[in-house]
Amino acid sequence: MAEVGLKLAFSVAQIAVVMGIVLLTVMFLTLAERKVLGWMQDRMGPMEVGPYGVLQPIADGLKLFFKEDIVPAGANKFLFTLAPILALVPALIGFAVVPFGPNRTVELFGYQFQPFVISDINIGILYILAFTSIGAYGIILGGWASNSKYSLLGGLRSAAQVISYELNVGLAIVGVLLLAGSLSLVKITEAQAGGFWHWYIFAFPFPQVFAFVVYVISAVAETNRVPFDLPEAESELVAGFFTEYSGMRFAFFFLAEYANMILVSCIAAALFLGGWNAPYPGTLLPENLAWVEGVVWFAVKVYFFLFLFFWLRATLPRLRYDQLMRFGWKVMLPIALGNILVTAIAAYFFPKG
Amino acid sequence: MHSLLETLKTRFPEAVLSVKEDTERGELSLRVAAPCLLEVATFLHDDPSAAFDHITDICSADYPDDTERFEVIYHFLSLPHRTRIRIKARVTEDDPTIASVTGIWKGANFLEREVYDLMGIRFSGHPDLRRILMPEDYDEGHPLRKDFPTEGRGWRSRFEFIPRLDEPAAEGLDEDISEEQRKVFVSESGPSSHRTEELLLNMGPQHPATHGVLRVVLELDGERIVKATPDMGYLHRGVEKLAEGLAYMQIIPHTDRLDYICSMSNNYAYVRAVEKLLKLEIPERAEYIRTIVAEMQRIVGHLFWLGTQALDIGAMTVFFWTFREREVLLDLFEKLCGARLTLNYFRIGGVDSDFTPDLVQRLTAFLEAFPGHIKEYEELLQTNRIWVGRTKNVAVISAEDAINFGLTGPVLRASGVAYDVRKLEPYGAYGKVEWEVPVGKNGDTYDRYWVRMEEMRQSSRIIAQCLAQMPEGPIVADAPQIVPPPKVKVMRDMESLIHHFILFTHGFKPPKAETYCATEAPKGELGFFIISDGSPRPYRMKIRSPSFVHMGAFDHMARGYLISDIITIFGTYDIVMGECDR
Repeated sequence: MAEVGLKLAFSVAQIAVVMGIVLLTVMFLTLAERKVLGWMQDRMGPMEVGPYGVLQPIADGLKLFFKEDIVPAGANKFLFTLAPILALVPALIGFAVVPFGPNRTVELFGYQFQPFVISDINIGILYILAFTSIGAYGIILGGWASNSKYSLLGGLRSAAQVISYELNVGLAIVGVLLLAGSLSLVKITEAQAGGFWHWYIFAFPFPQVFAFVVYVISAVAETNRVPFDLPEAESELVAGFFTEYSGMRFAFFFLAEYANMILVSCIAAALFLGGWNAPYPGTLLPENLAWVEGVVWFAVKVYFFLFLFFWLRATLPRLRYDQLMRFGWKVMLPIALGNILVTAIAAYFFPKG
Repeated sequence: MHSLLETLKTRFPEAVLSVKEDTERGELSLRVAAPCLLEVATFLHDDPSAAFDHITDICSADYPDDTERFEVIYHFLSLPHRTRIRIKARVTEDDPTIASVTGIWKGANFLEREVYDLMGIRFSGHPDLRRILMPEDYDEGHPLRKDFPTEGRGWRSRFEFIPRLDEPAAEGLDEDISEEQRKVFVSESGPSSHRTEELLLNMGPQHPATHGVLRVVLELDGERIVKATPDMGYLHRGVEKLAEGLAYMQIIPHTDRLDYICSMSNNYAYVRAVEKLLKLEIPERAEYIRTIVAEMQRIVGHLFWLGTQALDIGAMTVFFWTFREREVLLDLFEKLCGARLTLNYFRIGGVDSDFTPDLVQRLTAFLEAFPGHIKEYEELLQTNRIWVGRTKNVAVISAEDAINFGLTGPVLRASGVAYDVRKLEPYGAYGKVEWEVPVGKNGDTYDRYWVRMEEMRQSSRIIAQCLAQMPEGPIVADAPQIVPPPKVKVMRDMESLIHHFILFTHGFKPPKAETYCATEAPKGELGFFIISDGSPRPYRMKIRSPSFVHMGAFDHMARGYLISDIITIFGTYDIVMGECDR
């Protein structure tokens, strides 16, 4: 009994820490995005709240919290309330299997714990894919339940887009799975140890560069970010599926979008860029502090991806719906399939170990 | 007499009531009997010796004392022969009906609707004769008639949705929604899943991308547009009606508010029309200054267009970059005349203030850096495959259609028609400098984008040459009956004060005449048609605004494209509702 209690307490603590870090990152991502965009566009970004505007996210959060929560007349109240939750929860739940640092076990009161991953389940990546699919329901239902044509069109676009691009995400990572021989994110990351030439993006026998490109593009599409932000295309559909949302419900969609960005960045880092592994063999810091180095490398990779999201937003115009579909099915899908074929052949001729 | 008028007179001895050639202003006009209008119009359009393929404008005038009270006035332009003609036809108050020319010029559709709306003249054979600027259920009459008061008839106070402070607030908004309305997305005909129906989407008047208060009702098949119906008039202020009660110089600030993005272009178009009416000569330095500021305004207008169009398509950065350059020019305007947006800089007979050496130096510095900035925008857009994919082969309009719809400016030139008022009828200093008219090929959004980018380059070329050539001299004409004395003298000198007082209280009296004057504004041909009855106020002033005429081709260009393309079409017209609705 004591064992179960202790495990539970430790897990809860772990979840609290991870959620805290993720939500804090989301908060400051909003600021970082505005600042980065501002610099790229020859302006300052937020400057008013706190020194250099660093307290802006707090002001934004407070504002959203105190805003009137409007449910449009004629909306389906139950689904309208459910949708933002359905969008946010899957985005956060995915972090349960992401390894943030080296795979090691710590003994605490005589029991074994893994401090850097909440749960190392052996179907890790499958679990994430399954839950992010549920996130799409949040968008579709939100668009449908609002009883607004703009929302409906946004929801429909989103449904088509998420289905098309989730397929590509799924197929892009198959190559990595073939090489690693595991679905566990911890095992996949461990298999990439020993220098950047072991990372799956460069790895022998078949570098997953194509898969990586497909994954990154599809991930941008899945998170509804520029240039694939059609479901919320501001200039066309006002705000797309969340046109009718306000206050905290709107904030939930907003949080979900940013949490999803972090999640896909984490997966990209873990699958293709070696996760917590440094680009050089071994570690620089002494053995007992090696975990710090691992965590830092993981963070650097994740933040690089997040920066990429901002960069794209500052650079690219939006695709049109038919172009998006054509690109997804006629360009990305064949590349992903070809990559699987070649990787499978390569993995057959050069078996692991 | 002009050979064309001779031909018309001999061919239609009964239809043509009188012809007039105004040699001083270079205008041909023709009075025809209303029942024969269509006959003459068909001849004018089809006959190769006339070939009036481009419809410029349709307007109307009201003469309450005449037996045939209303006059419908048509302006046509022949692009092959480079001639303009004005056709006038009178109708009576009892039967204000005239044949519609929409069958000949498609662009007549919106123009005739405007005449119907504001003057109450019916056009038989018009496919869709509804009010266009006033609300569709407006029942107080037709505002441009002389017996309609300028302040209106109090219709506004009858709007139900304007809250009345003396009544208790409406309660239970939630219950007002009927069960049917709650289920808009639920199919009525039961379980059948094969029922198809177009989705009606109301876009605007409050929408982030409609460039002002424009409403478009879209009939959609999925995301594809089956029919697009523009609904305009949300910004209708009745400038034409107001102008009838104002002295000529008092109208200038009103023209600022037409196309408020580049207000000087409107000032220019208006003062040119008045000067043409007065037959007033402008000093050379003033001509150069006018040309320079008009081209600066063109750059401002095109920068604004580029930024907003890019923003509509999702490229955010371009917007901030173009506004950065626009800011430099606005600072120069502020230096020049104290205002940044509604500049009110032109005067009848010249301009308000002279260039200072500091201004010239700052403008030169801007011109040196500007081509580099254009390159920056092009690097972000032209080399971007998404941008090219979003603009190429979108909203294509052929040269014939574009002319038939009466399109002008970059929209027409992108379809391959090299019509530019600055070249066709050079004014200002345009005849004295070297520049080219960029012409597109395919008439798609990309070509319109390209034409405008090139125009910015040409504009900076024109400005640079004008700055180099600009002579010294006065900046207002020496015409004491029209031009007030300088302010410095007014403050110190009794006679000048009296002169000033007389001019500003009485206004000046132009001759009894009428004239149409076209100017190339950034959006297209901006024309002012003024009928003067010899009094200090225009009897009738008609503004031919390019945005309004362009909206007439909207449905034609939007059909078959996607919702996302609608946005690019708004952008590609570069419409400004202030000018469209007037």
